[in-house]
Amino acid sequence: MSETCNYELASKIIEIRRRSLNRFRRDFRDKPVRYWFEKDRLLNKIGTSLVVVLATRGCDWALSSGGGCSMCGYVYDAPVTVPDSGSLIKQFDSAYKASASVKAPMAIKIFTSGSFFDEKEVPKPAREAILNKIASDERVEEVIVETRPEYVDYEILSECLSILREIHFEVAIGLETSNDNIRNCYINKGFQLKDFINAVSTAKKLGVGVKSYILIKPPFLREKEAILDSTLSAIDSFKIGASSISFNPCTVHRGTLVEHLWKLGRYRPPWLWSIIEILKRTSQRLNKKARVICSLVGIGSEKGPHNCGKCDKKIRSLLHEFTLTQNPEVLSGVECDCKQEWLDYCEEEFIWNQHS
Amino acid sequence: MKDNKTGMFEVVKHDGPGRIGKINWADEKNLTPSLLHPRFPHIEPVSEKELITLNVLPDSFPKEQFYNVFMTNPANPYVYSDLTQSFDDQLKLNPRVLTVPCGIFIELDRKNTLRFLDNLLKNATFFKEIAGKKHLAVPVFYSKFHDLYEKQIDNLSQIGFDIYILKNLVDVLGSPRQLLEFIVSVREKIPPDSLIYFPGPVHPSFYPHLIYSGVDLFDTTLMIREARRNRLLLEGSSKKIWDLTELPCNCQICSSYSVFEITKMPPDERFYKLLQHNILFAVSVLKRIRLDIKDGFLRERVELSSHYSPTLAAYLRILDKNHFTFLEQYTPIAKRGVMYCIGPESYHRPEVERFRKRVSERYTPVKGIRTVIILPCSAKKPYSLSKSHEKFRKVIKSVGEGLIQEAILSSPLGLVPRELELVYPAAHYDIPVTGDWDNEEIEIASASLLNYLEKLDKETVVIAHLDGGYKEACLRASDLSGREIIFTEIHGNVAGNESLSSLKKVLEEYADLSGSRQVRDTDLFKKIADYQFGIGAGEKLIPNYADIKRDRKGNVKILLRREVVASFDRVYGLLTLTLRGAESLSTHGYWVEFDGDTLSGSNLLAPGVKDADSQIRPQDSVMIYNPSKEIIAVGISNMSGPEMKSSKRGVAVRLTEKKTD
Repeated sequence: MSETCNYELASKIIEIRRRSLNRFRRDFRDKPVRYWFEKDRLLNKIGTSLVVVLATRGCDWALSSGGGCSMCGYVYDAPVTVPDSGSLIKQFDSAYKASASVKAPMAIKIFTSGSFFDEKEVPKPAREAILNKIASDERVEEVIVETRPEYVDYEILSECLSILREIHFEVAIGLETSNDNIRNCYINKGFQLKDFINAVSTAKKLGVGVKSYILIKPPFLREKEAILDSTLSAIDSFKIGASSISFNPCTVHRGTLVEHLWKLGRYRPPWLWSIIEILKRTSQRLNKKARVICSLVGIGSEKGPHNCGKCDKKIRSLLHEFTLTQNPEVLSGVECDCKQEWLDYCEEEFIWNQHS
Repeated sequence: MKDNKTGMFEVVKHDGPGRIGKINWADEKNLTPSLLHPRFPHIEPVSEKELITLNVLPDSFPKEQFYNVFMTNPANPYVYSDLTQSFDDQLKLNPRVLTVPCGIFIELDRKNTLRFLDNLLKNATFFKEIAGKKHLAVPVFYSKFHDLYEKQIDNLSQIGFDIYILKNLVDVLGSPRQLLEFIVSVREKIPPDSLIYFPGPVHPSFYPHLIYSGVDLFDTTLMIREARRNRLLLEGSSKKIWDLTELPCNCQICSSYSVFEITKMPPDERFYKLLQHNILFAVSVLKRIRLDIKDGFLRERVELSSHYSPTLAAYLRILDKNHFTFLEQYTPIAKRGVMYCIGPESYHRPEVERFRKRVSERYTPVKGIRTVIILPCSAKKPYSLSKSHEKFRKVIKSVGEGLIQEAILSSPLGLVPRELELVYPAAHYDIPVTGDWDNEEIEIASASLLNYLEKLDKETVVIAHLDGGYKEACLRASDLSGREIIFTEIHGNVAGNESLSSLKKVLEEYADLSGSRQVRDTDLFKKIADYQFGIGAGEKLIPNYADIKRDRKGNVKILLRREVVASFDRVYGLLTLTLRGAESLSTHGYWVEFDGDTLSGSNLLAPGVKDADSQIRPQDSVMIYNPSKEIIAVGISNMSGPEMKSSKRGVAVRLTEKKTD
C-alpha cells in the first residue's frame, strides 16, 4: 500500500507552480519578507520571539521538478533576483535592529520558507554572520531555524553550535505527518519518515533540539481522519525524539494545489474545534514531556482555519494561551453552537460531503 | 450456470425501473426503498422501525449499540494502515454489509481520476477476496470523464457487489442530465438484484424521481442537517421553525407540540424534536412511494412531484427523452386500472411512447378495405362503449358495414386503430378532455397519423370527422403526406345531430365501398396479437377460421378446432397464450429458456432462467423452453427478459399452463 510518490498529483502541482511563479514573484532586496515579535513559549518560560522570514532564492524542493508541497505557497515570497550573502545579512540586520527595546528572555526564529542549511539559499558566510550576531546578544536564550531533513548533518550542526555555544539551538523540520502515504501522496513532501529519523538522531547526538512541524488537515483527508493523523504524528514525533511539536493548521496559500481544491469547493481548512481536539489529545498523551505549540496563522479567516465566525477570536486567544502556558485545561474554556455542527460535519463527511 | 450464491436482495414488485425490494436476513426483513440512519456518536439514534442503521467508522460505539448494524462507512485506508486492518475494524461492528474503503475523490484531471479509480478497483478486488460470505458494498464515483466511470462500473459489477454507493455527486446534483446518465448507467450495468444507495442530503421530494430511476436506498443526512439548522422538512421544501405559525403536519411531534413550545426548547431538545419530525416525514414519503409502486402508480407520483421544482421537471423530461429504452424495459406491458395523463409530462411516459412506437412498427391496416374514417377520442374507454362512438358507428354501419376502417385520433396516444382500442393503455388512459390541444400534442398526433396514412394504399379514401386540435393535427398530417383528407362539417358537438348527418352525407358521397373483403371479428385479435408479439403473429395464431367466444365480462377465448390457443383478458387488454397457441408462435420470440427439464411449482424462479428473449417486458405472455428448445410451459412474465437473465432471486415467470407427459 505504501507509495513513495503520487506522480499524477505532482504533475498537477508543477502545472500550478509554473503558472504562479511567473505571476506572483516580485523583486525586493535587502528587506526580509516580514518580521515580527510575539509573546512566545520558550523552553521553560514565557518570553519574546523575534521571527524573521528571510527572502532567499526559495525552497529548493518547491523550485525543483518535484513540484514542492501541495499546500505551500511560500516560494512566491522569493525575489526574482537571487539575494547574495550581503543581502541576507542586511535583511537580518534590519529586523534585528527593531529588537533593541525587547527585554530578555528572547528567542530568535530564522525562517527562509525553505532550508536555512541549504547553502544555495543561505550561503555559509551569511549563516555565520547572522549566528555570530545572535551569539553576541545576551538576551537570546534560544535560536530556531527551519530546514528540510536532508540538509541536517553533523558537520553543519557542530559549526552552528560552536558559534552559539550556550544558546539553545533547535532545528525545525516540516515532518507534516508521520504517515508516509499521506506525506507523499497528498502533500508531495518528497521525503520519507526515515529521513526525519536520521535528522533527529544526528541532532540529538549534538544536543540540538528538533521541532517537528505537523500539518493539520492535509488535502484529501476528512476532518476526522486529519484529527487522528495529526495526533498520531505528534506522538510519533515525540517518540522519535522531537523536543517540540508545532502544529500548523493548514491555510490556503495562493498558487497552490490546496487553493485549487478550495476554489473548487473541495477543501475546507480545519475547524478550530479539530485543533482543540488535537491539542487536548496530544497533551494528554505527551504529558508535558515535549513542548506543544500551535501556529495561529490565518485563524478566523475564510482561507484559514475557522469555525462559525462568532467564536473564532475567542478560540484564537485560547490557543495562544495554551501555547504559552502548555496547560490543556484552558482549551475547555469555550463553547459555541457551532460545535454540534462540527461534530455533524466530522461524521457526515464519511457519507457525503461538499468538501470531499 | 448462474452463481449459486443467493443474493440478500430480491425484487418483489416493479413499476418502471422503480421497485419494491426485500432484503432478507435470518432475524428480520427490510423493505426497500428505505432510509439508512447513520449512527453518529454524538447523536442519540432515533428509533423508528423503518430505519436501517448505518455505522460510521472509525469511532466505535458502546456494545449494546452493535445490534443490527446494517452497513459501515470506513475511513481512507491510506490513513488507517491498510486494507486488512480496515476489514477487521469493520468486522468488529459485525455489520451485515461491509464497505470497500477508499480515499476522498477530487477530480483534477484524467490521469488523477484514472489512478484513483484503479486504486479503488484494487481495494474492491481485495475485499471481495477476503469477504467470504459477507455482503459487500462498493462506492462508484461519478467522473466528468464518462468513459472512465462506465468502465469502472463494468469492472465492479463483474466482481459483483450487493450495494453500489453513488459518490461524487456534488458537481452533478444541479445537472439532471449528468446525474441521470450516471444513475442509469449504474442501474443498467449492475445486476438487477443489487441495490443502489444514493447517499447524502437529498430532499424527500426527490425520492420519487430517484426511485423511478432505480435507486433503492437513501439516508437521513439531510434530516439531521436540517434539524441542526432548526428547519422542518415539508413537502418540496423546508422551513425555519421560527417562520412558521403552525405546524403543517400531523406527525407525532407536530401533533403534540406547538411552534411556540418547540422554539422555546433548549437547542438540544429542539434538535431531537425536529429530527424526529424530519425523519418521520421522510419515512412517510417512502412508505407512500412503496404503496404507489405496489399499485402501479409510481409514474403518476413522479409526474406529480415534478411540480415541486424546475430541476425535478427537467429531470423527468430528460429521463423520458434520453432514457426511453431504459424506462421502457422495466415498464410492465400492461397494468390494472386507470392510467392518468394529466399534463405535458405524460406525453412521453414510457407506456404512451411504447404504444405509439408499436402502432407504428407492428400495426398494419386490414388489407382490402378502401375507406378509412378518423374519429375523435372519447372520455369513456374503450371508445366503442361511449355514447358518441355508438352514434358514429351506427352511421358508419348504415353506410357500409365492415367496409370502412375506423381509427381514433387521441392525445397523447396519437392514432389508435379501432382494433387496438382494447389494448393497454388505449382502454385505460384518462385525460382531461377539453379538445384544446397544445402544440406538442398536435405534433405528436399528426406524426402518428402521418405514419398510419403512409401504410394505406394510395386509393384508400380518408375521411375525418374531427374538429379543434384533432382537425389541426389531421390537416398537418395531410399537408405532410400530400394525401387528401375529406372533412365532414362539425356543428358544435361532434356527436350532435347536425354533425352526424354531415358524417352520413360525406360517407355516402365519398366512401369507396368496393373493398374486396369485410372487417371480420378475427381481424381484431389478429391485430392485437401483432401488437403484442410482432407482425405476422396474428396470422399464425389466429387464422380466419378461428372461433371467437366472448363471455359476459368481455373476456374472450380464441379456439382452433375446439382447442383454446389464447384468451383475451379485458382488465389488462392482453392476450394470454396457451401451450397450443405457443406452439404456433414458436418462432416469434417471447421465449424463456429454463435451465432444467421439469418445472415444479407454479412459478419459474430467476435462478432457473438460462436465457430469455430481450423483448420480454413484465406482464408479457411468454413461453418456456427446455434446453432442447421444446416448449414446456407458458406463463406471464414478472420481469423483463434481460432482468430474469441476470437475477439470482425472485419470480421470473408465473406459470399458467405446464406440459404434462
